[in-house]
Amino acid sequence: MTPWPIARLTAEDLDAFHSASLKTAAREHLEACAQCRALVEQDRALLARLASLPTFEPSEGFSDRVMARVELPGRAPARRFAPQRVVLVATLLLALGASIGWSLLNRALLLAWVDSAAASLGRAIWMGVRIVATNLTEQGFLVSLRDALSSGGRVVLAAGVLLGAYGAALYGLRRLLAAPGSVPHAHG
Amino acid sequence: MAEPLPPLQSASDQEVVSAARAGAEAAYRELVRRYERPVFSLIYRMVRNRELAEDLSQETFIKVLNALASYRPEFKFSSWVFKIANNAAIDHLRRRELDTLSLEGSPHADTAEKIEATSLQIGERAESALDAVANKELGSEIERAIAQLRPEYRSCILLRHVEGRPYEEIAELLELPLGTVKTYIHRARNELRLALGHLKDEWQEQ
Repeated sequence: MTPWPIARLTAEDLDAFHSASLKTAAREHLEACAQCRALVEQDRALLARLASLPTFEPSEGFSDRVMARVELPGRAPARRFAPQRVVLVATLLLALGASIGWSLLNRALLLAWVDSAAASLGRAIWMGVRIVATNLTEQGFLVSLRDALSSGGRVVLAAGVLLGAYGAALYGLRRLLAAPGSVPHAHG
Repeated sequence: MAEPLPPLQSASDQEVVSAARAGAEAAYRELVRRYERPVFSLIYRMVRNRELAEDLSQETFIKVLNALASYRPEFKFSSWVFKIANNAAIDHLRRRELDTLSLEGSPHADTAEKIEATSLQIGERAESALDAVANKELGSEIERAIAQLRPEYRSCILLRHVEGRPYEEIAELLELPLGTVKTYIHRARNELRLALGHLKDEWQEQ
C-alpha cells in the first residue's frame, strides 16, 4: 500500500480524489487504504450536501425597496425643498424687505414710535422693581431681622458669625476637593 | 439615437451593466433579479437573521447599483457583488464581535501554544438552543454546522461549495492570498466533517 499523508491532505488533494482525473498512485492508494477511502467518501458527501443547500429568497417587494433608493442616471434628482417651504421662505423674505423699505421711508415716525415704546418699557420695568422691593420690605422676617440688628454690637456679632461660617465652608470644600493622597491620614 | 437595449433576460452581466449605465431602469431591476437570491442566501447564512439579512442585502444592492459608474468591466460583475455582500456581512459580524475565534485556533497560528491560545470551547460560540428553534429555515444539521464556523471560513466555504466560485476568484473578492483561502476551505471542511461525523453512516448509505 502506498503510504499517504492523511493529516496533510489539503482541500485540493481531496478535490483531486473526487475528480475523474485521479493519478494512478492516488487511485492505488485509495483502493488499498480504507481510512482514506472513508475520508474521501465523507468529504464527497459533505460537498454534495453543501452544493444542494437551498437558496433563500428575500421578502416580496425587495427589488422595489432597492430601486426606491437607487439614483438612476436619467431620473430627476429628488427635490431638496418642499414647495410649501419655498413659499413660506419667500413670504418671510418679502415681508422683511417691505419692512426695511418702509422703515427707511418713515424714519421720523419710526424713531418716535421707538422712543415712546422705550419710555413705556422703562416705566414698566421701574414699576416692577418698586413692587418687588415693597413686597420684600414688608415681609415679617425682615422686621425681625431689623430688630435683631438694631445695635452696632449685634451687627458686628452677626458679621463675625457669618464670616466664621464662610471660612468653615471654604475649608470643608477644599478638603473635599483635594486628591486623597494630599489629605493627611486619608487612608487611615 | 440611442442603441437598442439587448434582451435583458438573455444578456450577459456586462451587457446588462452597460444598459444600466445608459439609464435603463429595467437593467437595474434585472441585476437585482439575477443576484437577489444568491446575495440574500449568502448574507442570511452569515448573519442567521432574516430581517438583518434583508437590510444588509438591500444595502449591498444600493451600494452596487449606485456605484455602477465606477465598476471596472475587466472584473467579473458577480465577484464584485459578492465582495460587497460578504464585506457587509463580515463588517456586521465584527461589529457585534461574534465568532471571532476558531475551534482550531487562528489560521495564522503556527505553534501548538498559539493554536491553544486562539481557540475557543465549542460551548462559547455554539448557537443557543433557542436560536436554533427560532431559526427553522437554517435548522438543518449542516446549516447549524456552517453557523459554527468562524466568519472567514464560512464565507470561503459558502462561496466555494454553495456558490461554486473558484479558489482564485474567492481570493480576489476576499482580498486574501490564494494559499490562505485554500487553508480556510480545508479547515472549514475538516470542521464540518468533524461536526457532522455522527452522520457518517447515513451519508455512506446515500
